[in-house]
Amino acid sequence: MKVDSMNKLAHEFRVPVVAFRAALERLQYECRANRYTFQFDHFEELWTYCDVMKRLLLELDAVRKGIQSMPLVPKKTHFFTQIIPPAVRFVKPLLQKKKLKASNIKYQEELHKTPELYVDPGMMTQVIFNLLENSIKYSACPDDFKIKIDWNDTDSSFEIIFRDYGIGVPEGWEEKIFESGTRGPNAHKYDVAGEGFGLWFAREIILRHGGNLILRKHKNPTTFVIILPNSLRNAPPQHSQITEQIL
Amino acid sequence: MKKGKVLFVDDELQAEQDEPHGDYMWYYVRALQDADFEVTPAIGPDEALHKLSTKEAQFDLVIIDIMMPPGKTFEKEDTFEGLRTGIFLARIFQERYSELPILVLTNVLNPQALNETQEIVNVKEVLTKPNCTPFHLAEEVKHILEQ
Repeated sequence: MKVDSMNKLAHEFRVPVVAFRAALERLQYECRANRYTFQFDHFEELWTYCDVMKRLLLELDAVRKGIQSMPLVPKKTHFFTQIIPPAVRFVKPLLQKKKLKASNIKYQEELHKTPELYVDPGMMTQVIFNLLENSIKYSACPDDFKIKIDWNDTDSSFEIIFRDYGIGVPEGWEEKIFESGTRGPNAHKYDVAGEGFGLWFAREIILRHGGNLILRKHKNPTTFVIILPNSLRNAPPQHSQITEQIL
Repeated sequence: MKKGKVLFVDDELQAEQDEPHGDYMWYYVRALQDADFEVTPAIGPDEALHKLSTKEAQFDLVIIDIMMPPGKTFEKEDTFEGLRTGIFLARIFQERYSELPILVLTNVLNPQALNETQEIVNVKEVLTKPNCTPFHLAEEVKHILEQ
């Protein structure tokens, strides 16, 4: 299919997602205002699925056009209130499927001390979602399921430290897991679904913000670290000025 | 008393009576109205420029889409079959109405197009439709007008 047709198709595909979200928000507003006689208790679920559709579209675009063609719209954002909570919300269907508890994802410690950073909130939510999804898929068993998200300040960067207590990453796979289309050697053994784009996409997004995503520890706990430069406290990433031919 | 007058330019804002429930972009209009803004829709550059030129208009803010039919206004311009109409329109707004803030609300996720709109001084915010629900838009409009 021609690239131009693909772009137009992608555009047309986004319209129903936008329309559905708009209609859902209106329905929720009208229900809160008691304009309907019925009660509807599944808004959170519908929002989650809407956001999953939106996220998949983003990932599809990234795979199709390359991450460099994705727009970056940086805004001053607080990671622990604006990025992590929605990402946790998006993985709830997956948690339910694996009979895991969302309460075992811990991230609220010393919230008030963390800085605001110029990042693209949508993209960063995708990063956290992909890391969460990865941890959930590779969790060893429900009793041991635990994810902890902390932070650390260094002289040059702000780090978000992501620890999980799953099956771990085998030695020698530190970099391979970040390659596009690569799935870990345990994927088949544990019957893990996926196409091997999650960690690649997450790292590419962080690279575009001038930082990096690394695996710091293989196991017990498996530790991923998002490293973001301190310059993001005062200004958007320089990489945001990306050029590409018009659609 | 209304909080402000908004001109909303989007080709998907067809007349509401044309369809029993209106097009989905009308959710955005309703959210702005619920937030006490007076909203005037325009379905393209021709109508937008006409409505802006009337003496009684005096809008406080303009919302524009990027991808729209070029209309007569831009029929001789290379808008890439309408893919860049909103950018041309924003530039005209800036030339003629230098004090008028512009908010871009678009489904176009092309980095170059977004960068070009961000370079127009009057453009105070660029929002993408997949990331902006109607009530979110109303909050952003309120925020710009309070600045």
